[in-house]
Amino acid sequence: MLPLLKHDMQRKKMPLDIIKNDAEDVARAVENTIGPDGMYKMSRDGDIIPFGSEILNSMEKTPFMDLLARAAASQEKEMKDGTATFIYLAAMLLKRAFNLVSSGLHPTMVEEGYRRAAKIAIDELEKIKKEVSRKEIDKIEAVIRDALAGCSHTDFLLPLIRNAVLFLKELDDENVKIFAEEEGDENESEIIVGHMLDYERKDKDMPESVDNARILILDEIKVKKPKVDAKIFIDSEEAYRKFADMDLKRLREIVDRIVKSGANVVFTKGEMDERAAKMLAKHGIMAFEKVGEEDIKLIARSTGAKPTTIDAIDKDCIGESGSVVDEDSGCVGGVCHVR
Amino acid sequence: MLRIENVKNGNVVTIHIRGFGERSNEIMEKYIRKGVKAAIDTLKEGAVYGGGIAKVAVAEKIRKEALHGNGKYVLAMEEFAKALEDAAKVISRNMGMDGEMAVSEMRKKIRSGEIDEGLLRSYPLEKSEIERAAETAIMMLRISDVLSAKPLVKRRVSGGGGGVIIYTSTGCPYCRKAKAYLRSKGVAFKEINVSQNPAALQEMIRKSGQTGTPVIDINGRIIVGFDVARIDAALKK
Repeated sequence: MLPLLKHDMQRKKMPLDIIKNDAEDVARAVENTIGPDGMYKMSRDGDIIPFGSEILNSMEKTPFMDLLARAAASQEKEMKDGTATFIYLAAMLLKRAFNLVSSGLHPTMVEEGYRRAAKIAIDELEKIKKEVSRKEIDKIEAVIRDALAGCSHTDFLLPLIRNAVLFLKELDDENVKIFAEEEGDENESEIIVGHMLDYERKDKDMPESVDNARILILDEIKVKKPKVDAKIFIDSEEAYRKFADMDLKRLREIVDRIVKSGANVVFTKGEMDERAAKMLAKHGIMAFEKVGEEDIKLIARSTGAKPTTIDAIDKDCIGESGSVVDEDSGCVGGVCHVR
Repeated sequence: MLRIENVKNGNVVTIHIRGFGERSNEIMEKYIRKGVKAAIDTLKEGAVYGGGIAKVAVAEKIRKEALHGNGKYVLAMEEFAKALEDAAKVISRNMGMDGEMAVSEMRKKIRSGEIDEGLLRSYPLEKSEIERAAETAIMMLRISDVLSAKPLVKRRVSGGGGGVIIYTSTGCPYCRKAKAYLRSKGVAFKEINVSQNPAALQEMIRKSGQTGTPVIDINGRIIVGFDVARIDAALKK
């Protein structure tokens, strides 16, 4: 049994005949959309609804519909598909249950019959299912086609999806990412064994691309403000220069450590000092700052880089990839310049 | 845009699609996720016949088993099988066939064991539909009784005060991020793309004193660039 809607047992009860009418309305609303040749629907506002699961949203809500909608949302979340068919089946099961009850069969008998039938159904599906191996491309394409039912770009998406899945070492939905750009030529769509992320290199003098990338992930590259125990008087240009020099000295140390590690690409979670970025650029190192936590995890997992601090850099922390490329889009520091 | 290719551990794949525009992209992503899941689930757990055939096969089995039952529940088992066939009929009808005839053809082929393999579906998907539908129907039966039911009111997401305008340019990632951020805050906004609209570009330059995008006008407060702190501050007022 799916652990579903158990808390709804506490809710108010509903008359079965109201449920039956709702069930009929719902069945009629979704039936054109199910199966490999299901159609689009138009909502009352004139929007096209490409997914059967969204039809419930445009219908009037009654408690029955609410429960159905929540179960449908659960189907959508878990399986991402089959929602319209689920809705149709549930509606027909209810309609038929109502007919049985009104012709005198006790609801508990109906429940008993449905339970047994469901168990037989699951067992039988298990028996008739067939294994599909990575070599059986036409079978893989057939199930993708079924999933893309109603899509107007099936021929475009099919090879992309098929190839993406076949490239995966570990079969897990999470391992397939999508990066969609509004611009560009659709023929330039592609699959990358790796990532497309929204970041630009910190300094324009850094190389635009690096092959045989050796990747380092750091917290930040910043000089800390000195602790002020003693009174410090900056009463001359000389004193001011001394402090500025201390900063630069520290930054040079940091950059040296990075260079010594052999890394040619650096990601920082926090900020990167501009002066350090300039120094890294001189060494031909690409660097990116303020990389989000999720993205850091992605990069670490896929390249083998181990996030570390400046003082703990060693060869084991370095990750690898074939290449890292910054496709310059004219955007820096939160602002994009209109071309 | 940062591209990291041929990662050492080879365990991530990115599908990079271009050229479909914002609204289409949402729909494309949904379909891609569906397709990816179907392919992965199939490779992991197998496939069954599509086009309603698996449902008819299962209905046949239920009927067969019902013959061995003794009790009134048998009537309900029969109705369950019929509901599965209802679905198969509708699926066939949507494919342009006569529902009744198609289902009886399917029954014949299943009995004689000669099914042609064209249509396939992911097994976990087929299973989830039937299991969930049965669960839901049974739950509904249990809670049905004589009492009035009130229609529910749909929750409203509060829009953020009348005047939020965002000036964007084509191919501007910070514009995308700014829009996503506003949406995540439930703030309704009007988008003006200045790339093809010289008049709008002039308006934006006049308001912000510069040519970069995005420019966000929140009730008269002008923010240049995707600056979360200033956007939040402006929204509070």
